[in-house]
Amino acid sequence: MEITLLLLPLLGAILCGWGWRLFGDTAATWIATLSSVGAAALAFWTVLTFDGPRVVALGRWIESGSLSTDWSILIDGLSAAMLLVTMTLVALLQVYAIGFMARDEDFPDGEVYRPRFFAFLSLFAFALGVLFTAENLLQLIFGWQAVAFVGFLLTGFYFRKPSANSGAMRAFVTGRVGDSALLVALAALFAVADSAVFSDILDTTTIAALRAEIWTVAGRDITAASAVGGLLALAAAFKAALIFAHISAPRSMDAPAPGAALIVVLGGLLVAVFLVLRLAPIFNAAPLAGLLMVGAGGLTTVFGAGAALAQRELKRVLAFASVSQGGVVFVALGLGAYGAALTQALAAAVTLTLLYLGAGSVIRAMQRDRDMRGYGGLRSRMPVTYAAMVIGALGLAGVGIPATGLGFGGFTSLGAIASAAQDAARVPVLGNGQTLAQAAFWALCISGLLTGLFVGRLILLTFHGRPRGERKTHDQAQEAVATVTVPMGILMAATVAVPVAGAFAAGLMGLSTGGQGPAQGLSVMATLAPLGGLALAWPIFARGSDWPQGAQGLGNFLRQGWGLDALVERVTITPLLWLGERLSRRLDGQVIEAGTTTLARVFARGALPWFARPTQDPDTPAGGVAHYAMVSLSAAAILVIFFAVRSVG
Amino acid sequence: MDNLLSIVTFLPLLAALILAIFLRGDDGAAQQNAKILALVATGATFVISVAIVTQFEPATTDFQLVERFAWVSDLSYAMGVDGVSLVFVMLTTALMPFVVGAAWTVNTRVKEFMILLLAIETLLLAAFLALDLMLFFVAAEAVLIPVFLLIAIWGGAERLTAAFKYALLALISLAALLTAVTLLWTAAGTTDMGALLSAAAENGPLALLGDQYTAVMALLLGAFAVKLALWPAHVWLPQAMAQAPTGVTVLLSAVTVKLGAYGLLRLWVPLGAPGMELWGPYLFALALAAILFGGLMALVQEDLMRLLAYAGVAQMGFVALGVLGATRQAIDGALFAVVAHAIAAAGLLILVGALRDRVASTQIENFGGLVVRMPVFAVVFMIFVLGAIGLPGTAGFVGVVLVVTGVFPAGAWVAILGALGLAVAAAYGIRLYRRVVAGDLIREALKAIRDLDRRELTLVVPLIALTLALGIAPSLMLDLVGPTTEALAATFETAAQAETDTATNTSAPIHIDTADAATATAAPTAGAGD
Repeated sequence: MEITLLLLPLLGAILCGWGWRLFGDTAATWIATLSSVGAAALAFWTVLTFDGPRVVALGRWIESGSLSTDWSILIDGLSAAMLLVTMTLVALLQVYAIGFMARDEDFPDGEVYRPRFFAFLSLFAFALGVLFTAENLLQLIFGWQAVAFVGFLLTGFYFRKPSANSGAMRAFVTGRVGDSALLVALAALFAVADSAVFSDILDTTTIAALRAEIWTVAGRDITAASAVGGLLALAAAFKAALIFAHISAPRSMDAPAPGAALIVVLGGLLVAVFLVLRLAPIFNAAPLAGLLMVGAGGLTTVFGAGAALAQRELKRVLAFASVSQGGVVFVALGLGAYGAALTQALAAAVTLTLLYLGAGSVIRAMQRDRDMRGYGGLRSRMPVTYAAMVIGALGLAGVGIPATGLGFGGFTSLGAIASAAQDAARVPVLGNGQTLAQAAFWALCISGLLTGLFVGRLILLTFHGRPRGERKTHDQAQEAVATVTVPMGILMAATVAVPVAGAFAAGLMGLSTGGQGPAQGLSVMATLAPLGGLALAWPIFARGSDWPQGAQGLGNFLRQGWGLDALVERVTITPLLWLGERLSRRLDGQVIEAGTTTLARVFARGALPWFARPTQDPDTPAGGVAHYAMVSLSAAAILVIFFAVRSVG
Repeated sequence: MDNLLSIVTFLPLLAALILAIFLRGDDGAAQQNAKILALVATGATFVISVAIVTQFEPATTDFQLVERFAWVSDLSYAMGVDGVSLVFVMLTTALMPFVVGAAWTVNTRVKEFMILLLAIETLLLAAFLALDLMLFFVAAEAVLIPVFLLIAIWGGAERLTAAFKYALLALISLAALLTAVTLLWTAAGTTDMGALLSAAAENGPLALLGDQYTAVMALLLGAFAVKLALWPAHVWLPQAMAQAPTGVTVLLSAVTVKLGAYGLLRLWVPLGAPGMELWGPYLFALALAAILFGGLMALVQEDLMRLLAYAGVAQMGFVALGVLGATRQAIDGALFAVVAHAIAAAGLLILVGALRDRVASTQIENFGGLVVRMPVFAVVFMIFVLGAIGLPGTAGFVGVVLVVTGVFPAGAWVAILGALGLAVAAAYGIRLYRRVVAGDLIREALKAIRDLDRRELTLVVPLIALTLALGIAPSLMLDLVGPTTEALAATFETAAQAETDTATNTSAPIHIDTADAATATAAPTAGAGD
């Protein structure tokens, strides 16, 4: 049954992607959708009947000495929960896409595009399945990279559009740097554990060996556990698009809305969380990795929320929102609050997906205009979408009633993470990380405030105030069809249910859910902050005006990712291209080439000037080389004879 | 069949002779006959070579199916196969039909073209199967002549320069290899590879070669680095690839270049342990420079053939990295990378050749948006790009994963920089795809371009199947080579261990001048690893 669960999406992708010529493109999209629905049903069944971990081996894969791996399906609490979320969301997204993708002006009449999109979505589900059910690190890496690649395909879906192509390329190459870190982590783990299978890597002897072994990295002695943990944290940070690696999130926004949701939410955030949870024993032994994650997470959550506040395009707001949420989750992971991290990640996954679907619905209604400055007053025209986005916004910000467990989306987990940070600031959970934990706590408060502010801005600019932009567009705007609104309705319910579902999932995999109750003391601040942000948003954005006049400069700065977008590009891509040019034109084209020519010249003029006469003018390139080559050939012949005679004699 | 190896080796030559003697005329029918005969001969060679695999016993690490006859003086004609050579032999016999297929569009002096191709196949097989050093040398170096002629006669506008540059570097390699082989012969008193290598394993390579160890190793490395097109000895490759006809580019990049990898695995690994002790970091830096520099240079190329040539340089850097790592995983990875690159490069070159047939250009600026008119081409091209940059599902992934894992014990920095090479690979691979295939089709010249035809599809589909099969079930190959590579890694390990013991136990280890080696390999190692 696990095999069916895993292979159904692949089958759907193949039948849809290749078979649409046989049974038509509409039927093909339904085949893909139904296969995903089937997989989701099987995932439900797997969770309901779950009675302890099991491994289904499918066949041998890479076997090289002690590096011996199988294709296998590991079903345990973590993978079952992840499969459930993945398959359900993909199924919902495909149902949504049936209505959403029905028309697309980007493709000329008669060009078939829907099967390609649906096949990519199914393929994404398959790649995630391979990743989540891996029983060894190699298969995990396989899925890890496959997810990135399908994300690349989805981002470049509108292949005629230059921004889609360049965005897809940049996001993919950025991700490859993280992939490298993961690959080296595999190599390091294999060097210590002499195996790539999780049960060997994560057993107590290996962990003890990782703690005991000291490696010198950049002149400092650190334990192998810290080195490996650091590499893994780096890989996860690239996947979740944390600061500096964040460019992949906004660059992926050219994917159609369901694809964009998949890329940043499932393929980014959830996968990163999964890596940490799967390899939690290593992270527990690596306080350095924890510090790294808390630091990067705290920085990122403020960074992302700040950048989201200034974006003009609806989908880019959501891209930076997911970056910010990645930061929150990383703070939790770094603190070892795995239950809260998982709940927060699930909350982010559900609410962001809901917001993406709402955004897609709005953008379609507005004739593909993504700029919020042209929206306004859409509340009455699109009531379901409005409700969906309001719920999603409240869930994303984690709004709830303080001192109770009642709230939307990430409310309870946000409180738990804040408590964990407070605890870490008092008790040295992280070695010397008290100050860092304290800073992370304040970062959570600030980002909560900013999140409340930017979701408020998003809702107010889009749905409230008077219509802006083209009159005609606004007149035509209307609510989407049922296949679009029903998945949004389901996700709305899920947003409300997340805290319960998160606790259930955490229980399924035996993670501590401690601290999931009402937040106490100072931690309440973190849960109050989003409310404060929302309250602030009203007076600023209620009239449908964007940033106040005096703050345009700040807005521009934040919009370009606090100025980092250009900077990252300038210190990475530009010098590498320059180096490539230099190597190619200068070193290769001139120095080495001149070297070989000189070699031939010396050989010809010095050693054997008498032997061969130039048959052509030696000063023309062809003649010259011909001359030298003949000389060299003759010289080689002499060498052959010389050595043959000497050796035999 | 006692002479199976010889039959496989000389079958192509026999076909070449038949072509030379019996085929008359140069009209269309004669050309077609020459092509068909070459295709049948290479195909038959492949079919018969499958018998080598079925008769091969993976568990035995000695040379198998051995044939031996006396030759001139005390040299002998000796052939045999082990896990390492099996890979190269099967690679050659399996890809030669594709080389012929890719050369189908040749229409001048077809007979001579096919004769040369067939002769090259015999020489390559002889080199891979030779158990005698001199036979290996002669076969490996004789490849130079037909390749030279193929570029010089059938190449593009600057074919002469390209051919002569190739010849010049190949001759340097020839001289280096000849000297090394002679020195080995003198030291061991035999040219039998089995005897030579077991003598080296028994007393250690240093005891066998004495003072000449440095010279021999440097010469071997230099010779094979040129053949493998390892940076900075790669200069011949981009130009040769840009000028050669499509079939020859496939031959060069997918098969001929692999001679260098074979030589390194056959001679460098069993002898190299003491050398790695001394020059390890520099040699790793060299391989990493090939990976990173090759990749960066591929990133900025404006010509498709040159881009693929530089990508090949980077890929061969990975192979070299695996060879130098010399652990079980690293060697398996190097072998896998050889096969993966051969398949991906063959596929990509056939596709680029298909473009050249249609547009008469390989300049990237002349393309863009091909996906609009050539959807099948777009999918196939993507699969081969993925194979070339090592994405999961393809054979390339297995190769890079094994190499990176295998070299980690040699130094974390080696693994890290090697892994970053993969990010560079992704950059040039995806950028290539983006510029050529993706985007809107706006160029007038491409508005009527046709998608792949039946011949081209017949060529690429088996290659796709092969790269996917090896990516999903790598044990198809790893099972065959495993015991041999295990033994090879063990030999290296033992020699390295002995070397460490000597260095710690005796006060006066054998002096090896590292500066000497650096000059002899002519290898600027400047800062590549830092």
